[in-house]
Amino acid sequence: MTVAAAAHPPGALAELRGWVAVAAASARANVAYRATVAASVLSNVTLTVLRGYLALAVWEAQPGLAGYDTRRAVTFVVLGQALMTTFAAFGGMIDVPGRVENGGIVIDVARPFGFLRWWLAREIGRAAVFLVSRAVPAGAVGVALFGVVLPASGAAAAGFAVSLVFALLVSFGIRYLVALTAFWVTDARGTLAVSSLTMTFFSGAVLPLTIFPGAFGEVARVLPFGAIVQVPMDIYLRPAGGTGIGQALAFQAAWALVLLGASGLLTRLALRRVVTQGG
Amino acid sequence: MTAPGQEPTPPRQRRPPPDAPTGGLTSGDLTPAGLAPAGLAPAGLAGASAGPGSEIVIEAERVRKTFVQRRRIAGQRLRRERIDVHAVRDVSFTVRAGEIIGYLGPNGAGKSTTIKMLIGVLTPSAGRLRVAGLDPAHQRIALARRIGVVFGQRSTLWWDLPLRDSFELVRHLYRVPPGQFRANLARFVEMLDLGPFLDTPVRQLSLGQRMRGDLTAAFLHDPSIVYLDEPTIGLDVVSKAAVRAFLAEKNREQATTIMLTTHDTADIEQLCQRVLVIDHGRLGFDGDLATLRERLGGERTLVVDLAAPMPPLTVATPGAHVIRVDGPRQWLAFPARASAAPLVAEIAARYPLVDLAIREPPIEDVITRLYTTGPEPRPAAEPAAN
Amino acid sequence: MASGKTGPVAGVRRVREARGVRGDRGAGAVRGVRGIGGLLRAEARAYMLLVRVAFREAAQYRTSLALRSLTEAAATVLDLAAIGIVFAHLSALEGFSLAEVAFLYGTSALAFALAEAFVGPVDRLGWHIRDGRFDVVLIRPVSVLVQTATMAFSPQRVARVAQPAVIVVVSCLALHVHWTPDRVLLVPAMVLCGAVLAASAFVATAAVLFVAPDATVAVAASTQGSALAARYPMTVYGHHLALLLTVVLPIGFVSWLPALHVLSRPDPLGLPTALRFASPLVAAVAVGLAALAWRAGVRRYRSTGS
Ligand SMILES: Nc1ncnc2c1ncn2[C@@H]1O[C@H](COP(=O)(O)OP(=O)(O)OP(=O)(O)O)[C@@H](O)[C@H]1O
Ligand SMILES: [Mg+2]
Repeated sequence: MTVAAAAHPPGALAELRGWVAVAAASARANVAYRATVAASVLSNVTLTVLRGYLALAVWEAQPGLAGYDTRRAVTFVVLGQALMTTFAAFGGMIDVPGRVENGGIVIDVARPFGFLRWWLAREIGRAAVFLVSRAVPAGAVGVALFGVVLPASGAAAAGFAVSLVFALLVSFGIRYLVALTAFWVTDARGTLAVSSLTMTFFSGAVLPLTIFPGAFGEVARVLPFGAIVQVPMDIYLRPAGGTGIGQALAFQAAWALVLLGASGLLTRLALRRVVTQGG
Repeated sequence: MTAPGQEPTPPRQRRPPPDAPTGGLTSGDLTPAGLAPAGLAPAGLAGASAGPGSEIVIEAERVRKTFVQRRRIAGQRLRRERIDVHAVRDVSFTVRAGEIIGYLGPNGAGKSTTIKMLIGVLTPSAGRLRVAGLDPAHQRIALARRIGVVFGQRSTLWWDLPLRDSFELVRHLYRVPPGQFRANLARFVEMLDLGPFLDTPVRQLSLGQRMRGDLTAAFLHDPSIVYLDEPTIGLDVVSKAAVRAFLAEKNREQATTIMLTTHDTADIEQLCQRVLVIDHGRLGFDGDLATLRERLGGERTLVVDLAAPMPPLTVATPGAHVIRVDGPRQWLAFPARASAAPLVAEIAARYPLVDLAIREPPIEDVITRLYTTGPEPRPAAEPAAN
Repeated sequence: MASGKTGPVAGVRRVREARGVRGDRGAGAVRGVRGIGGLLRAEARAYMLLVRVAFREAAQYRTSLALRSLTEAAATVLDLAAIGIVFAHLSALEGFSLAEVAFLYGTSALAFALAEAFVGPVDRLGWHIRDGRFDVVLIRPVSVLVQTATMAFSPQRVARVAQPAVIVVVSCLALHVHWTPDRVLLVPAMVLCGAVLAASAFVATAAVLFVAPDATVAVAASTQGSALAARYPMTVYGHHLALLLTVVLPIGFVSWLPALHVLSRPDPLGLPTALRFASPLVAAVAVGLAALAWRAGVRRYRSTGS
């Protein structure tokens, strides 16, 4: 916002500054209430611990379940929980419906920063805060309590880092498309509920997708949702000398492209029919 | 319900609204009251005298509300400082049954905060509040049955339901007897012209229509006190007039005590017998409008029509001087506290006077002056006038 | 659309009319004398009224309602599938047989589902406060809790009770337990007390939102966490954590401790047997604490500047 007021630097630089400003504002808003951040960190750590112990018990009773040994399984569950919160695998978090309902959408549309860009930049800011405040503490607790394994190779570690970016893009794409339905249905709670359920279940956050049997599993593994938790974890847990990192990244990238393309198209349609309610 | 001794107050409403088009000399701001000797409040304006001797329904004693806000320190990314915002400080006043009180003040003065404390939405940080004999924060539910609230910016209606259903709900929540409900609803629908919208979901109503719905909902249970926080905000002239007429009518009919905040000076001029002015959380004035005008001084204007165009008049009356000449018409300013009589007499004696009118300083000016002079050292800063 | 005459509201009206037109003037004192019973009845009536309104509001958006109902059904199926997938691979967990684990899972899930059905929406409080919609709640003559618990009440949450109820019934049939009267009675009693405990936890944590309205996600996560913790044998979490979850946070009283009696098992944590029957007491204390927390929260409500 301060950027708009500043002298207009040319092209790309101005663009970049815009992104940084929006993302930073969003990040600040997400740390604005310290009590809230503290409560979220605490509850996230608690959930991580509980799920970690549960995984430990299950895999001790049934070693090798879903193709993971116990330490890998716990790693999957603990880091998966961290990814789930950072990338909002439970859906929502993009408040277009709220803006449509309270009329604030008019302001969003009137902003000289693209609508899609605005929300994506905000998501980047939010995810950065969540990564630091939710994922890192949960991961640290995981390392301390459960002996979470580290990536077996530099390639796996680098691939994991890249895959996080794609995970965010895919998660954003899905949630943004869902949020845009608010332009067509007066009450987006329905679509939100559907998406929330589907995303959570098929992202791999509830159960590793590798545990799903037969054709059900086959389908689950090609849907975009897996790109949010399952694929990054696959890359992370890839054994030394393992292949297919490039393929996994390509899978994510393809979905990210498709979803963002669709987002762009739908944004144009949506903005053509800004209906606001009340006065 | 009707307070004893509640006579219909001589209608302030008889004055045409100041936002009516002003044309010639005989326009709306010709106030007969202006001809009264200075210092004497025009009849019917002395708000504090409404329902003399009637019971006190609102009592605020050194009420205070402090919010803790956290702000980022300029230049520092993460450090934050704690700031105490004294939204309301040591405010004391009393309101008698049947009064219409205008609660004025610039943005952020603490008006909404005071109203919220009076309803029981906010708990005061210090001080004592009694509304209808109850402590709002601790006896909220009992109090809620006796009061009505309208927030101009916020609807109390059910967003997704037709207006009619919202009213039905109010009836059950407030336990309004069926007969009273039917009679009230029929009456209000007629007064506020709500008939066509009764079956429309609230979310599809325009601001003005919704506000009339909110007003109806607030009065359905015949509350004895009604608070309105900016009830006319964003409304057009017609809707504003409807809201004002409705409030005046309810006040006259049932001696409903009304307290409203507004930034619209016409609301004050037409409705309020008494005004409270708050600034930076402190009560700066409590009294009627005429007293306010008088205390703050300023100038009144005498407009004279002469038989023929003349050069600017020279008058001997102290403080009077010509401020504008337009053909045969001339405008003379003179101190608001002084009587107009000597000036009129002098002009009538020395010049060919055809017609004359006196204009009060516009209420906007008075209020602006009040806000800009600051809250503290001000002659008007005197506790309750009654 | 139904007119005001035939809507669900009308039923309540009939009840009121049957009770006669009683002037409300001076009724305050009388109401005080009628005491807590009368108060509870009045609150229950307001609760039902507002739930009906919520149903009606939901019915305004048919597509959304249909979608949400479908989702609810799908969620139940997927949830069952997830449990099925896990249990299919397990024969026992921490020395508890599959049927025993299912019994624990079902009773605690049912308790939480019941609590969710009654007071679930309280965790939305933060949203209402942030958009400034909460001032309106405080001007109505109905308790804040009743209004909050019914705001955005979704009809489907009632249906969420079905799935755990089925698990309870199936697991009871599969258990090899000698069903003495005390055991039979203990099952509904533990579900009821568990529901009260869970509801108290919901309300108490939601009270935090009065002070930190942005903590909605954290509050939701904490209820989710306690629901998760209650579902499996406490020993899963290791000795220390299990003690913490049983004695300090009363999660163990939701179903773990009473279930030990039903399953006639020794306590792996070595706690006194009497604790297995202490759930009603613990629930009563929890209700008291939740009420205190809620009141303190309402008093600290600071509205929004507008
Ligand atoms: N919920 C709140 N939290 C923190 N500060 C608040 C809150 N509500 C009001 N304030 C502060 O208290 C002061 C008084 O606010 P209030 O809303 O009462 O003003 P007002 O007189 O109603 O103004 P306006 O005419 O703009 O509506 C302001 O400085 C405001 O910033
Ligand atoms: Mg205000």
